[in-house]
Amino acid sequence: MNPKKWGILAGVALLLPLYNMAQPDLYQMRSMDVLPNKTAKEREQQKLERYGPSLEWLDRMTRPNEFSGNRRVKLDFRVMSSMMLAGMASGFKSQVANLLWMKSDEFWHKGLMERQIPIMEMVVTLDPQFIEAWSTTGWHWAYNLYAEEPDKPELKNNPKALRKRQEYDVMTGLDYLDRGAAMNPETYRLWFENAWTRAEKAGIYDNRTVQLMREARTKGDARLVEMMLPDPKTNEPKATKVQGMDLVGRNIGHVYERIPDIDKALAEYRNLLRGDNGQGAPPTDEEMALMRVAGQAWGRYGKNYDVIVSTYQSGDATIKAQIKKMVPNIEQLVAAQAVRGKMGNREAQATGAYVSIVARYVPAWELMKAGKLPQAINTIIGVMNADTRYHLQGLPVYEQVLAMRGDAPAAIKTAVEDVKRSEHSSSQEMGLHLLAKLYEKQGNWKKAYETWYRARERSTLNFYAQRNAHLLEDRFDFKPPQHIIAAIKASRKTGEPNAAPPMPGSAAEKAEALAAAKAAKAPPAQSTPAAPTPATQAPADEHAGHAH
Amino acid sequence: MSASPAVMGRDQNVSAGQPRRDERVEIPAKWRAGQLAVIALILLAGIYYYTVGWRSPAGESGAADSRSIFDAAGFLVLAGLTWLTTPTAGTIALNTFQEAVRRRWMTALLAFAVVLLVLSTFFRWMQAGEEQKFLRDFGIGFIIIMTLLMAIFLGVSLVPPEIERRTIFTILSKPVDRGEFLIGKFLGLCLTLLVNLAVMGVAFLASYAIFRISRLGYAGAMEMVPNVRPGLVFELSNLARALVLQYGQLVVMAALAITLSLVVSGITAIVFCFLAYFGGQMSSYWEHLEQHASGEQGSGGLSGPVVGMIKMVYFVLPRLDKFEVRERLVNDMPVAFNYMWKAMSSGLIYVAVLLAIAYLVFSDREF
Repeated sequence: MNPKKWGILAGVALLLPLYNMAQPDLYQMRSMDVLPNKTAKEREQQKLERYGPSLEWLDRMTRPNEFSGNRRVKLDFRVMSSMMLAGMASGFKSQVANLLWMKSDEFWHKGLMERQIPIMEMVVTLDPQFIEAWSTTGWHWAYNLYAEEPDKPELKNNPKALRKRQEYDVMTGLDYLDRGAAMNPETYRLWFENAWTRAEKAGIYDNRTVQLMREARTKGDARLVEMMLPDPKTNEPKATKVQGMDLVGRNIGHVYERIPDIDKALAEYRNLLRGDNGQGAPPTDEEMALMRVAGQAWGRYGKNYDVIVSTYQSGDATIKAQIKKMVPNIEQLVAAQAVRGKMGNREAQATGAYVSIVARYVPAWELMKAGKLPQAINTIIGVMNADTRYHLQGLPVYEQVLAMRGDAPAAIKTAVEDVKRSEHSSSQEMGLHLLAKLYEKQGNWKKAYETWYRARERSTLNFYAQRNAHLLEDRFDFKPPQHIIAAIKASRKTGEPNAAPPMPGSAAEKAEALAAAKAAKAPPAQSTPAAPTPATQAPADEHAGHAH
Repeated sequence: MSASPAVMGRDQNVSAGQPRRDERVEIPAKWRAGQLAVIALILLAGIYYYTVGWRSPAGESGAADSRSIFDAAGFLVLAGLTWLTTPTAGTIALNTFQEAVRRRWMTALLAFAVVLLVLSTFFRWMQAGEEQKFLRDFGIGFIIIMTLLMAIFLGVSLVPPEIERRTIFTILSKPVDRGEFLIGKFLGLCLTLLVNLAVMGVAFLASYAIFRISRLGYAGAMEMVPNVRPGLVFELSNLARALVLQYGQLVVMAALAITLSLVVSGITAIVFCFLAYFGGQMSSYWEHLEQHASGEQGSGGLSGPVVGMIKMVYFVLPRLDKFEVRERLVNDMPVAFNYMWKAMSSGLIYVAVLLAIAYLVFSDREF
């Protein structure tokens, strides 16, 4: 070799290491992971600086086992097909992800849910912007795999192991939604689904759930959107602002309601009552004071208190004088009803929620804040039982106004019963939550446990109550209250389940105490495992309990 | 094996394709001046890069805005290639290009690609609801595959057929340096790939623009709505940048194909090229494993020899996925010039290594 060739060889020897050392910042830019535990601002910055795929999955692939302090799905080399490898190595990552997605769908139709797991993981690895895949994978874990667990022979007679496994499934589903949301910070969908699953399936009502919902609302596609819709009058296309994801705002209020944190729930609903399609100023303090008057009237005269207002407005001087005598603040109530109507035009559901919360839960909440826990407990139990000593004290006035209007006695009786029944059934879920909270504040853990148990027995979809009952069960080794389970089960035969505790000192309470004593003597029954949830559970109407 | 005609009757110390200094074609002063002008432009670009800098899109910072000393290597390699592009190398490059475009399979491949790219909107049912994403992904991915096939099959069939058909004797009997011959072939291939990529790119961008305009109307497509859509001009410029990065990848593959074709047989070279491409596409994965395999996170499942093998593979493979920015494209995020140059610079170093190896192999080759 001549010196020129030696020189070239030396150049190669120098350039190859240089190539390997070169641009450490390139490595940094490509391998940067967008992590969900960062703040929104930090995530946004990371996202801006990231040029390559998330490589977190590689760590999971090389991890020794599934449960080494990491919930994320262990990727196994053995389940990686040639197609997956081809996807990773070719320029058609997203197309391969689509084909794998079809395979996953095929497994779903064959009922091979476990076999979908590695395929789903590979799909989101190959195409982290496949939002549908993230969403479905999160749902698959949190709902389908969760519901499959009780059928496994090794878990059938082991409620604790079953609970642990189901918790793992739900949390893994949430983790998918977390990762997906972090990889797709610009769209609302995964943020919202993460928050929704966290609240409605995992039963976690905390600041993070609210934070995720708030974040979802900040996304460009979560606001009111303008669409070309046919004009109802002319049938011509017309630019119309329709509701995007502002529903999420109501969900935030709903989360606070269920915690319950009544003050924050009211503040949230107030915020939703802004003018100009949610873009204007919030209602004034005067308007909110009148909304409270409306709520108080509901609490006193029942959900149809507006009959009093309309009869007053349409009545002659005699009727007006009579009503004014029975309802001294009737003029204020007229103004309150006008404000309620105005707010209803802005946001009907938030208005209904605000008024009904004031009617049912604010009295007990205020007593709690004043430190009067026994009175607060009695009040909320009174609301749940529609006991006129604590709630609906103005029903006689309502009856008289109906009579003034000319209603028949039978119709009046039916109307009054309807009001009572409505309060009794609609106040149970939130009422039980508030009651449990009051017992917890009082340090009466046994009662708190029983109250959470009432809530979870009333609705198998109340995962918040289920989680809280489990927490107390683990902490104090409480056993499921069989007498309560039996009573609620029996009440279902009449149609509407009744989970409200009996009024203190009532005959019903004594009967329940007797049943409890009887149940305590009986051999202990096993804790009922969590009921499987239908795989295709649709989000329930958030305010089924409110009049809208 | 007989010596080449170029060697016969000459100084036995001078091998084929190594004409004596007095036999080499004198490079015209005008050509040299042009080369110097191009080199000056490259150096000016380098100075601009290090002083003013090609601003990254707003919001980026840190690595995206940093400029390291390694980025200079790309400018130096470019300047070196320019200096080595003699008139002879230029003539060989042009002939290679003409020869390449006359190949029927190349024309067929190009026509097929253009037709499919134009018709790509008909396949968007494959990703219902995410048609826009599908079109971008499909278009860029399809161009990658088509041009990759061209780069590999053309690259391995540039030099060996010349040897088999013995036409190389005719070329090297003239005052042509073997280095010039290689550079010429490489540049001809690069030119062919550039033209093909440009044709496909125009077809793709045009069909994408037509799709967007047909969906949203001209005004709607051009309109930039924050957080919703960035506007057609931004999208097209981003896609064009992705195509430029794709060209960088092709240049590396072209150099690899030519080099391998000189070392092993055609079929073997093709197989190695594909392996290198697939391995290179996964270079981020190798890199991550290599960096974290011995760290505290992950790693427990990898044994020592496996880690060693990963390190070795990572050391020699081209980092092709550095040219891959589709994740940013589908997110409507801008592709920064700084990033583009860093990726290009890294690729150019690899090209220099490959061409130097090719020259070392080819210069000692007996025909």
